[in-house]
Amino acid sequence: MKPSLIFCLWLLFSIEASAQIDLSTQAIGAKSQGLGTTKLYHRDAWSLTNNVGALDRITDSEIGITIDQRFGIQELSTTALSGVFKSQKGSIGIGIARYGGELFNQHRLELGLGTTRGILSFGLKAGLFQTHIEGFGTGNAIQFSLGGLAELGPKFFFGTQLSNVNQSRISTYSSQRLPTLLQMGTTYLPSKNLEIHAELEKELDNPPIFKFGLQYSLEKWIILRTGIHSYPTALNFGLGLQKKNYGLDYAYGQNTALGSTHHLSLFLKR
Amino acid sequence: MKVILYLSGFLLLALPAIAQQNTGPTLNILQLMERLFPIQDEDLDYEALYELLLEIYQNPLEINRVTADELQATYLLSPPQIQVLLEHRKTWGDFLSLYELQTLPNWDSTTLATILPFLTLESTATSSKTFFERLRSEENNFLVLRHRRTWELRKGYSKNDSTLNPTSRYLGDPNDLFLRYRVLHAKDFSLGLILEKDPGEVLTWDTKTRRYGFNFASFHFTRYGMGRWKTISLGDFQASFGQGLVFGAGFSLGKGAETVPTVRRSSLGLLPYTASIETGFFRGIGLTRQMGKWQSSLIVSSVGKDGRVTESSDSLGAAPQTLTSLSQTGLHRSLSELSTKNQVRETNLGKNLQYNAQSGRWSAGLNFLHTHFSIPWIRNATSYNAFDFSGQTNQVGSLYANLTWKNFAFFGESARSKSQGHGTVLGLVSSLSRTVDFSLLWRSYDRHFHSLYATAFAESTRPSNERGVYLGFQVKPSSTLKFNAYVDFFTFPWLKFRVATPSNGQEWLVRWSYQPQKTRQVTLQFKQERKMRNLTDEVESTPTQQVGTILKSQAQASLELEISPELSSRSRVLWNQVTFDQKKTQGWMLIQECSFSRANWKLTARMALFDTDTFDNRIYAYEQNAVGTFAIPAFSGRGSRQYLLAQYRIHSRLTAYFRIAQTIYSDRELISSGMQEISGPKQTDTVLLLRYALH
Repeated sequence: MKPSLIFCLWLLFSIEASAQIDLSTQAIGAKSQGLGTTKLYHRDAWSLTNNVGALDRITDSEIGITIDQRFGIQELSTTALSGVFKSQKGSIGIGIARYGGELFNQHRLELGLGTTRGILSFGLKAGLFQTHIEGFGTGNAIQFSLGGLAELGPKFFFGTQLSNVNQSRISTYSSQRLPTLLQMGTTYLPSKNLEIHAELEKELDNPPIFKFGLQYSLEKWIILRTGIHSYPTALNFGLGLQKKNYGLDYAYGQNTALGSTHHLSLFLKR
Repeated sequence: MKVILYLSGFLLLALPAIAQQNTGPTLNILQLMERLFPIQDEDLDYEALYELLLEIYQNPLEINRVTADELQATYLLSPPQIQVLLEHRKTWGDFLSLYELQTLPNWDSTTLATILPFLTLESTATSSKTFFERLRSEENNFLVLRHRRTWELRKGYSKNDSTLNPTSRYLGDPNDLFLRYRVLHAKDFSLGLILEKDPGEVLTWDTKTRRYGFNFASFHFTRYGMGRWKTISLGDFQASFGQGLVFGAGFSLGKGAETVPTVRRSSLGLLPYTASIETGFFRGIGLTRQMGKWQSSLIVSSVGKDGRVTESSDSLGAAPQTLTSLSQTGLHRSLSELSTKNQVRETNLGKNLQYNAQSGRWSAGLNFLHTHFSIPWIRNATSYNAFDFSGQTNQVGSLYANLTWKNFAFFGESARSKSQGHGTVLGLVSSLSRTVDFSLLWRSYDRHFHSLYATAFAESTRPSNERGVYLGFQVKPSSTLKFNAYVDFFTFPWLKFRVATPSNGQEWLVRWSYQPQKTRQVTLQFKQERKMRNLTDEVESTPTQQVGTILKSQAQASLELEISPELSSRSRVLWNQVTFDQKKTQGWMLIQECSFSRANWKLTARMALFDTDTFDNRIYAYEQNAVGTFAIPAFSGRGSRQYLLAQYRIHSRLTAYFRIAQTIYSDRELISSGMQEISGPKQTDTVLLLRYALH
């Protein structure tokens, strides 16, 4: 009874709120989660997953680990490890993520490259995506994604990403495709300690999601965040603490119908 | 100059042109209030709120004595701006000129221009005259006489219609009469008298129904700053302390076009009650005593209330009286309505204690209110009001605090009522950078939290049965552009009227305004609200117990143009769409308004067309009216609305206002229903107001 209930729950979520729940659409990292799951601008170890175009905007090489816990259900949690390494010519990122429980789970291994030319940073990544459903078997897929981040002015950035360009299927034996996403958004930096993000994310088969995030650095080492997004509507709050080369981010998400989510990330910079 | 500046708050209303000459750049109070007002989607009477805002803007603030709370209450300054002013005063001593404000670091010219009309250097305390001399010589001393009438006869007035129930027939004539006398001097005294007769009421002296001439009379006399007595208020007054969980003063700005500062409430203390709404005020005595940093207030009030009283005989044969409903309308037109008049006496005993830190950085206080009804209030039981107040007494007490830290202003209040229900509001308002302001408010009100004078921030009309989070946001990237937004998430843990389950919802608004020059402004606004409501049975068209989602979207675009100093134009397009039970309905309204003013007269004319599919698509449109008269009427159906407002200064003391407004429906032959029914598609209303300055 219990496994089938969980499976039903997963199905429900994946249909109703796939944008939040499926590994290939999730925003990774507590920073992004605290900012209404905006993805395009953030420059950290999670740029690889969130927007490969921002990969080369990172200032120092960074590795991070993140854990997401959703609605108190173990089967809906995500764990991810990611690293971005900066060099003179560009940046390279590598990451691994796992989502789900024993009966249903997804794994992803990603490798991305990014570089900057003038005002534009762009990148390309390839991912190996594995879906496992107990009793149904395991499917593998390869996904390709492209992204870019342009500096329109000292205070304005524009980012865009196209994920799963090749519209790969869950497995060779399945007709169901993995989500293909197109994201666009702007970032406004009114002052040194303030970031405002507004983004739109469209998945092929779902209504567009509007996202908004606001980040304020109270001090250099303490950062406050809040954000909202639609479909499913949720409100997020986040806190970031950082020392010179390491730090942590925490985010809390509130979904009126389903409950709350918790996200914790740790990172280490060179 | 000083006197004119001093009075400008008031003059602005009556004579905008003159005020403009004397205070330089100004802001039209009505425009400001329109921005501050909550966006209306229910039939609520905002007259009390209007009067209270007027009270705030009419009394110029003495720059050398003003407190952080008072400055905040203008909703024109951000927390850092207030802090900078107070620090400047502390470091450099009293301001010698208002122009000194220009030197404050984060005070830009726009801020200065908006706040200047509400500030004064003059100090009232130094006046050498005796109180009676000051009272007699006060220039802000006026008499207002107003007549209003709907000229088409409503059904309730017809004398020989035998089909009418005789107890609900209106006894009086359809004239609405209003008389006000007021003399006030900011921070010194205020004396006022209001007499009102609503349409359908009789002017009569009848002790049995407690009608003494006019149906409603309100009087107040308030003195400020008599030694240690900060305020002594006799007659009708209101109290505002903390975030309004106990003492709310009928004042609930909340979600409006001004998205950031309006979430925080100021402790305005005891205020004279100047509205003609016949409920929601204290009648008796209110005292505030200042003892250094401590301030202590006491409220003693006893007021007769209208309500429906029933006698129910119990098994012992006794017939205890119970109050089944309290009437909020204040209308006593028919025998039936008269029978509810003054049926219950409500006695209130209130206490506030507040501590203000010397630095002005924080304050804290406690509130307590005891309410007693002469007859127990037992509502007719329904499932949605199962946890509402019931009984003869209520006590509610709260703790509140305000704290300014860096560029954040934190505020909060937590209350508990006799029923063990809790209510809490916590929030912050901040300027995150020079161009970005932000506010956040969290509230939680138990379904059994009862506070009878509360007006704290809430989606519902009362702070009860609700939890929610509000985020407000404003960006001013340049002096000409302004972007406002808010989002509010709320849940109702218990049933509500027309919602048969616990429910939740969201609401958001974005507003963009562009003012390339002072004489022209473009505004675009979009608002969406998602809530739940009982579905209606298709066949029998009766409400069911099944709940569906109702999505309301509203958009408006407006253009304000000052074509010449004399001629201005306002164009507005309003649109809405309601999606409920798989049906989409729409509403439209187009408004064109022009104003023309010359030396001592001003004319405003409006023409509007509206077309809405259902009553849910009704459109609330703000209208200009004679001074001190306020209404935001709703329009539904199809038709046109027009009015002409004329204002003429007959001589320096006497100003006359006349307004004729007409609604003509093209989709109906009957307007309104019941006793209010008008046969015919046309409704014409007039207002005639005379304002006489006694000095």
